[in-house]
Amino acid sequence: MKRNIAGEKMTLQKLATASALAMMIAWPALAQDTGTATKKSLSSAYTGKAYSPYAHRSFPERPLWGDTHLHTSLSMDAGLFGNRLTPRQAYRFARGEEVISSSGQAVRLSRPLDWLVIADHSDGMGMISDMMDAKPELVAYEQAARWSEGLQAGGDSAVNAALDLITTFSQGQVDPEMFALYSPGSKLYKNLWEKVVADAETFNDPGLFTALIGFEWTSLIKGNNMHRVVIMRDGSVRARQVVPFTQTAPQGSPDPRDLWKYLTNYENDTHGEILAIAHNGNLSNGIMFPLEAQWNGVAFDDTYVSERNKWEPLYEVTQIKGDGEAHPFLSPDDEFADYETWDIGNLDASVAKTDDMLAGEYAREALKRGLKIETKFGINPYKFGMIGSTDSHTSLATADEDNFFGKHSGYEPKANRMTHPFMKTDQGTITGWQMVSSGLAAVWATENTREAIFDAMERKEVYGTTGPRIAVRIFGGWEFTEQDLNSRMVAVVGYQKGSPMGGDLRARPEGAKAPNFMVFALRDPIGANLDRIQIVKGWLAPDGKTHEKVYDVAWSDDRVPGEDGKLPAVGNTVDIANANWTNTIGASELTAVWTDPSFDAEQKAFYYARVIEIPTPRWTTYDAFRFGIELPKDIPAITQERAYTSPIWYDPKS
Amino acid sequence: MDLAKRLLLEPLTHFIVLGGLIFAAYSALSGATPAPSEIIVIGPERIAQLAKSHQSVWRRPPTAEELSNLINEAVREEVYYREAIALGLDRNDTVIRRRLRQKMEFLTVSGAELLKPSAGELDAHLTANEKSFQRAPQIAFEQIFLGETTAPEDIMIVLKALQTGAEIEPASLVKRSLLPAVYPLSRAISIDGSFGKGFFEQLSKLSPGIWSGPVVSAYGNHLIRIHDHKPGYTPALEEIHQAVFEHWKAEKARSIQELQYQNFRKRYVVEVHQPDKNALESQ
Repeated sequence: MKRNIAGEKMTLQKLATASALAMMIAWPALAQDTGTATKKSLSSAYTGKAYSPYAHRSFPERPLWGDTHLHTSLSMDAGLFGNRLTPRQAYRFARGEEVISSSGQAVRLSRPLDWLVIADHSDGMGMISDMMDAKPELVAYEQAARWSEGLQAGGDSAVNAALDLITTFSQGQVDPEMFALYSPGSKLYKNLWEKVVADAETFNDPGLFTALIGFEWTSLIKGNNMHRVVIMRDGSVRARQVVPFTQTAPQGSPDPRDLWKYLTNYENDTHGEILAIAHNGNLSNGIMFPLEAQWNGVAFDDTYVSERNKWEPLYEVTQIKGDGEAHPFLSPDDEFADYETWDIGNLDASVAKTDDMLAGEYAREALKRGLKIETKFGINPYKFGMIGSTDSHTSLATADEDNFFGKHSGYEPKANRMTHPFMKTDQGTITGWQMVSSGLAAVWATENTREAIFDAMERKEVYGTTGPRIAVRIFGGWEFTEQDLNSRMVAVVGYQKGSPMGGDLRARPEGAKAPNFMVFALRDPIGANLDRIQIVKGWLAPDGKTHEKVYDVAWSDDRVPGEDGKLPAVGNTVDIANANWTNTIGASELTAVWTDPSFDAEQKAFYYARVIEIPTPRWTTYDAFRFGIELPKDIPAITQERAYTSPIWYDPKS
Repeated sequence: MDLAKRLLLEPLTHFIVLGGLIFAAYSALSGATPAPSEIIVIGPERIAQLAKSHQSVWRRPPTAEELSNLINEAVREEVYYREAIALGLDRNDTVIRRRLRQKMEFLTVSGAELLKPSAGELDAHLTANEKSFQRAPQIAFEQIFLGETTAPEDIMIVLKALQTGAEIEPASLVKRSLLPAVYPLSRAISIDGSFGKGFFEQLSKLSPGIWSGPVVSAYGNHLIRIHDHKPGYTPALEEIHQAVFEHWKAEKARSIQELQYQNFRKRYVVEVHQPDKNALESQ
């Protein structure tokens, strides 16, 4: 892409000359002096290709930041743990306003989000908030009246009521008629959903702030997490034609195949569009990404594989309950694989984790398994893009280390939250400090509207971060050169010559030896510098085994890899005592064109970028500093936050 | 507080004791079972309603036995309801009181839903609430990034070249960057989100159409050409008719509700007797 007049690159000297020359030439006369129209001047006016590089562009210019997964007081568990903030307050907070949290603390985001999906649990949606308000239809039931009184009393009575409620639920002793009020089929539930939709309509402000309509389908199989967040492209007219899908029989089901039926019906009945995003495979004890059989032991079939591919274009790879990109057991050669790992057991810690479960839990392994399953069925069920989101249950989408409001309202900032047991069973313990202040979803959408954001999700042109707003672009193609990096508008070259994140490599041109990738990363404008960009490659060998390798492709500070090929660590400027760091190491922007050195044209493969920040204080360090307490030795003080892009796939057949 | 004292204060204790006394008095006075004096009618409509609510929960009509149970339950509910009213149990119950208040408020507010503004009323409402409807200023611009440490004289060289019409590419002075080269019409919130706090403020001081700067972002120095600068404004009513209408309606509902309350309130003389200070403290 050459854009200068002379058709060559301008160096400092040439610039100086050009400016001197230009000053000597008189400025062109006024507009009416256009000269005589000749064949030559006219034909050059209609070259067919726009001279202006800004014309005819329809590609996204900047990532739009959002959270696909936020709970409000309408979610049963959120309400039980003391969340009193409604969806309306959640929207206000997300668009940058100050609100008072459920624990009574003033809170505000460092910058607003561009969009938000409120995804409350569909089972029992609204029940706890109604209990808090002693809604007459609800407290007509003995159980509800009892719990309502306890919850309203606050303090220990509230805790006891909450515990009693949880026990009653887990034992299946809840009054079915009462629960049916908060399930599909009841008028009350329909009214509630209409309210949820109406709130989204109120706060949806195309171009400025987008409120996508959604909910969470909370499938739990013997404590194993199979949750999916469901997101609609549409507004109230279509969304009101349905109510959310639940996991409780008779109206709902915990089987993903039934969820996909619901999604199919939605699109058929309303002519709308809808998708689902799974999360927390790390708490599924191996059933999130199985290799051969579904969760119930039934072998994969064509329908399962194609429906999953169709309805689940994205996976939520990082959030408060652990990071799910890679696990050190599965990726022993990846020094950054053990990041905020939660691997004691399943969602309710009722069954402990064993090593053989891990391969069915982590995104990178799933991407590899997908290649393998594809050879058998012709379709890859795990061909997903990656995003991060909070799964926060406080109505507050906080993912910054220095502004972290915890998993639920009981873990909003207070001196003892990091040492308080978060979950404890005879199988293991998760302590407060293990909560991860993560993550966010970045979407390369052409404009800030429901349609554009949803469409970017469908084409997987999205990525996730653990909180910081790092801008990342990656394009894969066959003929990128170092020269391409010099364009002032990198995206123009990127789209012209290649495929963006989430896409497939174009067909291999005759004679092309290996694909190359143009990748860029820019630090968060108010955040930390970058350590390095890596490209993670996964591929399927002829013997049916899958492999992976992590390449460092760009890094800061002119570091030189050692003889073992390993890049020295970037260093560390974190001042733990004062919860501070400086951008004196690392780079503000990193970029590279990288060619796969061990490409085999016969093997299926995928490539995604991982961008690592320099070390910064973890939220626990900010807590210790602000509450004036000593950070216990076994609690991590430092983190290296990161971004994960959606992959680009290569298929020998294309 | 010891257990006995707590029990004495417990409403449930009062209820049991009181109930016991009433029943004792009642059987002492009447001696024998009283003759039925009231009729409870469970008509076809009520039965249809019972069957329907069963259907909505269980997704099938009730069996004959279930229906008969439902009817018995309905009778039981009615009997208890009438006895409870007779005993005055509906009084001083927080849940019932709150529900009744809710119903009253709902009656007034739902009336407001039907209101239509008269001619000019929305215009007046928009003028009176201008602040709620204001649109933030927006800027569209083009930028060239020069890095963090470029010397001022080098910046001037590039600026001069741009001002005289040169088209330039990244080279030794102009740095490549992932930052958008051209930024569409956007508010401060979005622009500062990409370039760091205070960037919009600096842009808003530049004249449109010409290259100027440098302007300093979170990343370093930029030269800027403003394409468009749209000041903040209050949209015309046609543009935001629905939003103004909703706002007007919400305010109307509030004021009607308040008015209604004040009307009711006039019928009462309210006396508030503060407890004496010592009694409060001893509690």
